[in-house]
Amino acid sequence: MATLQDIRRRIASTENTRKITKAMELVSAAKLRRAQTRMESLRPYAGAMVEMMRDLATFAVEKNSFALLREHDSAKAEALLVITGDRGLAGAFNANVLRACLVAGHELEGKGLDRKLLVVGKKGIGTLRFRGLAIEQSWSGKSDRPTYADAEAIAHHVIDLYTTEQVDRVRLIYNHFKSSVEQTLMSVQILPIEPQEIYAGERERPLVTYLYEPDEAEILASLLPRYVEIAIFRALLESSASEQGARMTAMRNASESADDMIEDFTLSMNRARQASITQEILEVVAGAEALG
Amino acid sequence: MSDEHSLQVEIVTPDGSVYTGASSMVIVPGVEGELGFLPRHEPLVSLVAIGEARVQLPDGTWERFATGIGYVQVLFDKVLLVVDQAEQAGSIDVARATAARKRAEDRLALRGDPGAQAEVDFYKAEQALRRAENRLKVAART
Repeated sequence: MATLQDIRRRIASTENTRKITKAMELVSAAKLRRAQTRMESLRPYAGAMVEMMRDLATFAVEKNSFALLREHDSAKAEALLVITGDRGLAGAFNANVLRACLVAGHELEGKGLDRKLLVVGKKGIGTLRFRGLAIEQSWSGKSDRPTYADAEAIAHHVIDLYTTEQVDRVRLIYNHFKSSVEQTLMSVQILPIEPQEIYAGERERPLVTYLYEPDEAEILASLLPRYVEIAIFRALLESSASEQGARMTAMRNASESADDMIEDFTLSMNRARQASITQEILEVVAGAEALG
Repeated sequence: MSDEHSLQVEIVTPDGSVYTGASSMVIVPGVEGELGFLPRHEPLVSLVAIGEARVQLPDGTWERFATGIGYVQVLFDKVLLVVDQAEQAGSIDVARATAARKRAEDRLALRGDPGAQAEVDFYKAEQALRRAENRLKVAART
């Protein structure tokens, strides 16, 4: 049976843990707000870019003349771009993405396709390397505060793999931010760019005729990589917000468990104390009777 | 239109809108040389390169920005500059930009070293170097 001393010690240690989990919850909440603001800030830029591409695409330029829109004739290899966090303690956040990545990898193997892994985040790199999988390229140290320059670097690598025909498809796997308590796993194709994303909805030819400099096709060709960058940057921000949300929830649960544990310990501590007092009284009474 | 002789300027980046305001003349670094816009310019879309964008305020003073790549759209006296990065000349931190240039140069110096190949993203370092140099160039003109 645990002595009074032992129980007191466990209560003190659980209280310390609770202090840490509470602090982590507050920190995550603050970081989540920041990540959400950045997602908001991206919207005008992304909106303007996509609208411009749609305008340009109405000139009915042959889509096969653009390397990023053209599908490769054969499908031999696929790249999986997996976005995880740099830290753990965020519930199933990292595990969900990695499981989806492994499943997708097996599917590709089943179809006899080659797969290349591109991994963002220390947690993903660690787990996949531990499993003995070859990682084509990895980036880490930015899950807290991804910058557009990070997205540009990743997009450049991905586009390079695609245009040199080392891979015939690129899929992005990440946690989509639904709300601060809910993340959904997303698996989307980013290359080749699905033409309907750009040629969507039979947009009417703009009423004004712009002077294009250089010509429409050249502008579209140089804006298409921006499209991939935006998709990756958005995924980085979403993943970052999701990570903070998941951590917030995990830490709140941990704090609540700590509350429960402290309650239980306090109860057994009181019981133990009562038992020892009763024991002492019994001893005193028994001693007095023996003397009498 | 209340004031026929002014342009509405907006500079948009992935980190949000950097500048909005009225202007009497705008100069942007187009891919084929600098492009200047006055009010009532014809509708135009052009690619822009890394460089310096200048916005003349109605009082005649100039606002200058170190800008990245993207495009510019001119329509009905509105100039929309959509670039991956933009910083107002006055708010450029020269010490930080110098440090960034140094860091990028150090990374690029590792090129050819097989051990560093996997660890360093040279493309990113190259871009960082170009951005830092542009920032310093724009800041130096103040």
